[in-house]
Amino acid sequence: MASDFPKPPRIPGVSAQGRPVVQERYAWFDTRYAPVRVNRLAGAAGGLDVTRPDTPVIPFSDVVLVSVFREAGAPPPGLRVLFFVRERTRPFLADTGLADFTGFPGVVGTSMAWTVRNLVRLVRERNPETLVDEHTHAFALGGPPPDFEAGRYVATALGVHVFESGAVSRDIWGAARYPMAGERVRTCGVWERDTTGISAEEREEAPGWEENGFTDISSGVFEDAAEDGFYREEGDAESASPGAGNARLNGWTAAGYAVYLIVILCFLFLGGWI
Amino acid sequence: MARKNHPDVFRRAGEKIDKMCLRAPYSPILRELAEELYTKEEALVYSKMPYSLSKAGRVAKACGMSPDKTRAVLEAMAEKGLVVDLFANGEYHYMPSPMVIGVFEFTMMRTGGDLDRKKIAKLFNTLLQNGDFYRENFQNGEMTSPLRTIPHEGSLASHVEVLDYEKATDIVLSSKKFSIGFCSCRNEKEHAGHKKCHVPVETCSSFDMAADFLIRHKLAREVERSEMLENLARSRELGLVFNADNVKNNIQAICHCCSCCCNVLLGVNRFGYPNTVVTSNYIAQVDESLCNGCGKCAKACPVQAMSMQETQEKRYKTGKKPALDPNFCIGCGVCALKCKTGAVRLHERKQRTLLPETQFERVVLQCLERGTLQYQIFDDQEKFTHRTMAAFVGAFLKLAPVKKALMGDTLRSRFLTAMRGGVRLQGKGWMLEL
Repeated sequence: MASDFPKPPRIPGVSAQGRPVVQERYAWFDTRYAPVRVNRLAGAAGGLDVTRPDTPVIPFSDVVLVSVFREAGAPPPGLRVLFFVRERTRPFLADTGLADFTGFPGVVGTSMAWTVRNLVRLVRERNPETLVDEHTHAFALGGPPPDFEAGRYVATALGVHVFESGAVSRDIWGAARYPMAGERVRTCGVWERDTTGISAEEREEAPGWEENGFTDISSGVFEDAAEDGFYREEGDAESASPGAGNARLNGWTAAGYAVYLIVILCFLFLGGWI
Repeated sequence: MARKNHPDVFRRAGEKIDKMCLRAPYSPILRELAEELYTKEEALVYSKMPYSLSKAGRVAKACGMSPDKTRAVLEAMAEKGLVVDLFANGEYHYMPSPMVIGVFEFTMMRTGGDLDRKKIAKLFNTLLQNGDFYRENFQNGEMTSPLRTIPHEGSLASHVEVLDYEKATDIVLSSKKFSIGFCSCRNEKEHAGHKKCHVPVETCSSFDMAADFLIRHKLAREVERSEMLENLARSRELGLVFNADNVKNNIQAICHCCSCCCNVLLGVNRFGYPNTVVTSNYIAQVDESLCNGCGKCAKACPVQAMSMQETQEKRYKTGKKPALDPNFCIGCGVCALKCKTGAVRLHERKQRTLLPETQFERVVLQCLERGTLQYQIFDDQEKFTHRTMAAFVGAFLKLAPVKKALMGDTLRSRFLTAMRGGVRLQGKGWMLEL
């Protein structure tokens, strides 16, 4: 599958120094965040109806994040709404051309773009905790819709951000929320993180905050990212490529494995297993 | 390595559940669940008994109790499905139930007793839906799942060949004893207040040894072969997915899964782990010349692999055409059953799925992938030697290159042969036939 991943976009001349480049650190497409396509999005009392028999109406309070983008290759206007919902890692991806907006109060506008902007505003009004990414925020304020390659790559980016980056955590039954300083966070995804002593704002601003224990580059999807070459190219080599540090240990590790193997074989022999 | 046991027996029982063939990460919810399900004495026996099938005498020795008392406790637990008792080699053998397939299923299949179903269903619901269970068991691309999908007969393209173990009716026809019980997932959703569908609860089909276990403990009712075939036909009409035991021989159960309640499909639908269930050897394909874009296949797809996408091709009257995400198609054939024009049919996958031959192989492979095989090999954790060896072997098997090599096509069969040899040496050769 790895060979099918498109390379992530790299902006020439933009340095990674000074702030973490989250987008370059995960497997570019992860099935855990593969969007579920919604056949027809519709409004319902107090929520979104994805018109699937196996999915009940999603209350606005359960919407964790909304993102709008234009899908490449789709007939115009090609606007897609992607929304992450509490208690599931896979987001829903709705084609606005097939959606019925009449059920959403005050949403239908003069054009599809304004209708979708109104929908984003409505979701945010009903649930102020819903996150909106910066491109969608700009779109909601009247800008052009962001252009992305395909929904699943965007979904992975946002999913990693929401559920795994530690920027936003999730209670088992609670809504999405920011971790407090000093709080040990159980994310929906892979890691437990320690935000000891540094607030979310400090974390955002502090250069190289990942060295302080917020970003575990040695486990989970980051390992996949390392294999796929998705670590940033600039920055210090040690943090950019954890494998480089491990290489020095390889000799000792091999010797350790060998001793271990011999001990186990002895035990198995003595125990009558071989 | 030689860690002192925790004084809380319910915690110990919960921690033991996490060391089985399918893991259930220990949490306060699991402890609360253990407190609801076990008495203190039962939790003590459960936490001390060997991991693999053992006679009551061996369990008694491990627990430091009298054989009669131990047997009574074991039988009480077997009635609740917390322990599996199998009559083999002329005697009853006992082993602790894993969370899945075991404690969860048998508890939610129980019909009698003084069980607070609502509370227990909610606890199970919380435990399974927070995502930790799926993460622990499926996040590293584990290949051996407890269940595999079998295609609906009639959903396959005309030239496709199907083997006997891939056909639900053949599984029924080759079995001798049958039972139908409550579907644990639907029952759990119903009691937890999350059931939305109108699919009947009594569908769970078991055969032979599993049927015997369930009938003996009143967890399911015995039925005739004809009723079992009717049960399959009804589920086919309802568009349910058939998920069978992930083995080739001695298939013990077939689940009749709906996408809204089934915890296996939930792993695919909500958390995006396609390996929660092993796919069939088939995959859906759409013949565009026959498709009219009605969208029934996308609506029926239980794992949301099929979706409708806008198109400007005039052939599709609705302006939409189906698109399949091959990452998620499990090859169940539900889409093909709903397609009136015959455009959607199952075709053979390029690569065939390798299935474990027997339950023994499945358990070994599942444990190996999840890092718990050492407990099955050195199963009496009350002995210092077993604890020490389990720690050594466990650390060795957890090494990524070792695990990768043993799960690889080249070494896997040799490794399984060695495991079989070891079991025969222990005088438990009968276990290989299960």
